[in-house]
This record gives sequence, structure tokens and C-alpha cells, in this order.
Amino acid sequence: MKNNAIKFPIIAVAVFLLGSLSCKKDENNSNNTTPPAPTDSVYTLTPYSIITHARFPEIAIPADNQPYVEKIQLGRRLYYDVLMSNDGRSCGGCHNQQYGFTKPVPANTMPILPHENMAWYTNFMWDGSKSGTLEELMLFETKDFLQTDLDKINNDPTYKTLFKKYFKVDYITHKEIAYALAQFVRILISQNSKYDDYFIGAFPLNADEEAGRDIFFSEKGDCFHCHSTLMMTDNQFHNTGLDSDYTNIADRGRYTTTNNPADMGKFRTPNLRNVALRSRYMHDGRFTSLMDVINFYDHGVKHNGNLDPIMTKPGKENGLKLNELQKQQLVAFLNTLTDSTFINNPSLKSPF
Amino acid sequence: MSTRLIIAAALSCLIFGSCKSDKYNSQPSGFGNIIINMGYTIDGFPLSFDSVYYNNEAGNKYNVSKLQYYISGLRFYKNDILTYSIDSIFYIDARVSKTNTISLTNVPSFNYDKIDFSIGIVDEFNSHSKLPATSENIDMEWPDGMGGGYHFLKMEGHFIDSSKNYGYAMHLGTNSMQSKCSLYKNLYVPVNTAVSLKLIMNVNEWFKNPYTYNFATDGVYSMGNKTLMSKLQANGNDVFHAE
Repeated sequence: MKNNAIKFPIIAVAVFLLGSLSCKKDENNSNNTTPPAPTDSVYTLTPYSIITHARFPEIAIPADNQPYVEKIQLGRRLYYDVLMSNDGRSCGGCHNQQYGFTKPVPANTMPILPHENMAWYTNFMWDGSKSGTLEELMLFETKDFLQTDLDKINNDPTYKTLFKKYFKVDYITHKEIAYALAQFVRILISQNSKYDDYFIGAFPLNADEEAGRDIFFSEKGDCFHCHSTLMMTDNQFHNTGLDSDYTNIADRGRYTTTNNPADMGKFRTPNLRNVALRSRYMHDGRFTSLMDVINFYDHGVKHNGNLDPIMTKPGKENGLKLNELQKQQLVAFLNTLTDSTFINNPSLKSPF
Repeated sequence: MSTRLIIAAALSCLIFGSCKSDKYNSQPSGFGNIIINMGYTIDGFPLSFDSVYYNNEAGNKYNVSKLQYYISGLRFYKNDILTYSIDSIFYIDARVSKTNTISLTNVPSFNYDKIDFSIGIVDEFNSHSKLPATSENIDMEWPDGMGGGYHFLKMEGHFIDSSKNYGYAMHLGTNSMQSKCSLYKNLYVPVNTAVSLKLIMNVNEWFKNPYTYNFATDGVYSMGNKTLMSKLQANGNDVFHAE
């Protein structure tokens, strides 16, 4: 269940303190390399309330994986643990908190989509090849992507004990691992950027940021139709004219999943929260700066039969036609989406 | 702070769900239910998204890839007298089946003969953050700088002109742009019984009567263009019929 909270400084402080207290308690558990003493008594889990921005939609959480402090901490441990793979990989290895839970990738490489605000998603990956709940996504991650060796997890005394206590299982399967991961990934919520403060009237934007916001949320830039008001993504698929030739399979996007010709070249709208922390943009990392991206929308859109109707409005058939100042202002606004609280939150860091 | 929370909660209750404000002006013998199912056609043929191109009144060959809208202000009449009204606002995505069924419970048992509703959101609730924060409502928001509130309608697709393919986006919003639908339909709601009502949208009606809308000459993008939105609003008054 979601606890909506209208965000005012007092509430924010209160929430922070509450979160810190509970997390501090759990960090101690997570950092404790000595497994808790086995007990036959029933362990009482501590319910966790996911506090979100009042204008964020309610989070749909599966009834059989309601959030608990202890399970979140277990998920956090798994998220950063290289024991999850056989080759030194972990979720946290590619999803670095300092970059908004993604990380820089080499040129012309598919950027790693950030793990932020996924609690609201039902479509995942650039092409939506995965959909459903976070639990289903995490099942894919542990079973297929990381190929977690269950023997390793079951032979680890800490995990053996913690899963027994929190999930009541004698043998840990990919399902319990996925559920624990989902508990942690669900609380990776970015909602304390400068723009969030501005949105609730707590903090002003400067003149350039405000002008950039106007461009973003008006017909001039028309970014808002896909990057909706506060969530900064509609979690839908769009062909934004990156290509007009789809011989390269990687450019086909949603089509590769649906085989619907109308989906050719469509990709999931990336969340723009913390976008300034990224070094590669678009599904193939073809752009290396926010200005590159803006220049693409300004004069680089390629017409094709599936180009999103929003991209072809009269007078802007050949791009946004922004001047240099307006482009800079748009970048200034995008910078206000950086959430330093999120990327520095100690309760989200690696427990190792 | 707490005042704002209370106001927000009160507004949510006013708009949606179990605490919806239902009104009726004469004493019924009991209550029944109405199950409304929304359907979509092009001049009598079932609408098929994406792949099929249709001809509108102006001769444009077009397809439909997105069709999302709100309906509000449901009013039921008998003998031309307003008998039952519902203040709820319903979001509908034609491509998502679960949103195309509206269940009205505890409807006064009468023999209704007319149904009114608006495509869009009544002025009272068409402003910033007035609707509960659902994913659907957030994606339908209409920027404050352009008038605020919510999109009443998003209909998008492509059309072919001189063998070239172009996109179109018919977006409708801002106060006074609701299409007003009045449907004459005998609908008896027995006590403790559910009756079905089918509301069919003929998508082609958005492009005719009273105004023939031509993508090639009128334009492909209506948002922020009062002239185009006014045409769509007027055409929208008779896009629905009841079965």
C-alpha cells in the first residue's frame, strides 16, 4: 500500500529520520557477517511503508511480496553480492548508485537502463521484451541473466539463515531470490530533485531552468507527451525518428518482441530523472551528451512510416528549431532532475 | 499541511470510486446495476488498430494507433426529467479492455429513456492535480502553461497522402471543449439485476458532422489550436450511439 504524503520540509525531515532509523537498524543486520542465531520461534517481520511523492501514482505490490524492512535488507545484500553470478557480476556492479543506478558504457554500446522508480513500471528493457511485475523481472535477472547458482546461495550460511527467517524456506530457489531483489529494487525511488522541490513550491528554479521547463512542457519542445509531468516517462513505446532504415536488428526496438510492423523502431521512453548523470543516450548509446540529444530533436529526426505522430506537428516537421540559448535552457532544466538525495542515500549503498 | 491532505482526500472521494456522489430525484422501488461496455467501429465495421487504414469523410486514408479519453457527467433521464446522475470520471483506453467496462452499482430502478454524458472532464475537476494520481491520469495531464487540466481525448495514428505517410494527433482539452453526448435509449434497470448497455463510438464521426475534418487542409495536430479543437469538440457530440 502506498502512503501518499504531500511533501513539505517537515514531512521530508520526518520521513528521512524514520527511514534512516529503520535502515540503520537493518544495515547492522546486513553488515553482520555472523549469521543470526538460529531460532525455532516465529520471526516477526517489520512492515515497511513506501513513502512517495503525493503526485506519484499508487504502487501496485503483489500481495505475496508486501514490503518488510528485513526482506528489503536481504534484497539489498543480494543486489550487491557477486555470489549472484559465476563471473563476478552483480546487479549493483552495473547499476551504480552514483550514476542513478546505471553506469557509463563504452561508445556505441546499449546503455544500461537505470534502476530508478521501477516500482511503477510494467514494461522493462528498451524494447519491452520483459513485462509484468518486478518479481517477474527479477526472476529473469537471477535465473537467466546472472544465472545464479542456487547451490552457492544455499551453501552460504548467512543467506541460508536469512531466507529461512524471512521467507520460511529450507531450500532457497530463484523465486525467493527474485522476491527479495524486488523488495529492494522497489524502494529505489528518485523523488527529491530540485524539480521536485519546485513542483511543490518549496524551491524556485532559476531563470534558465524555468525557461527550460517552459520549453519542455509546451509545444515548443513538446517533451511532456512522452516524459510526463512528474514521473518523467510514460513507460510506453515511441518511434522518435532515430532511424529510417531498420536493417540493423538492434534498431527495430519493440518490433523484435511483438512482430507488429507498427512497432518498428519504437523504444520505451527512458526516465529522465538523473539523466544528466548518464554518459550515453538512446538505445544504442549514439549520443554522448544532453546537447547531442537536444540537437537530434532540433534538426536530426528522420522521417519514417512509424514516426510518432507527436513528432510531426505543423511547423516542426523538420525539428524543434530551437536557438542556442533555448537549448542551453533545456539542458539547465534537465539538470534539475538530478536527485542528490537518491544517489547519496546511505541506505541504498552496498552493505559490503 | 494536514488541510491540504484532507482536501486532496475529499476531492478523491468526490471523483472516484466507492464514495462517488450519486443523485436521484424520485424514490425508486429498489436498485440495480448497469454494466456499460464501450465499443469502437468505423461506419459499422469493428475498429482494428494499427494495421487497417480507413477512409474518413474528407477522403483521408488513416489508421488509429491510440484512442484514450475520459467520460464524465453521466446523467440518466426518464420522460425528459433528470432522474439519476453520477459525478464519477472514467478514464478509457480503447486498447486496454479492462478500461472499457464501467460498472454502475446501486442504480435506482427506473425505466430510463435518455442518457447524457461528456467526453472529457467537467470544468470543476479539469485543473492541475484534481484527479487522483494514477498512471493514466498523469499521462493525460495537459500542461499548465497551455491551459492546465487533462487531455479529454488523445486519438493518434497515421494517414496516407500522395503515397506518403504522415502522423496525426487529435488531442482535445481545456474547459468548454467537452463533447456533449445525448443518447435516446430505453433502458430498464430492474431491482437487484444488472443490465448491459453498449456505447459504440464511430471513430469516423470525429471527422464529420458538422465539420468535415481534412488532415491535409485542416492540420494534423490539434493541441493548442482552438479552431481545430472546436471542430473536433463539435464533431464529437454524436460519435457515440447506444445499443
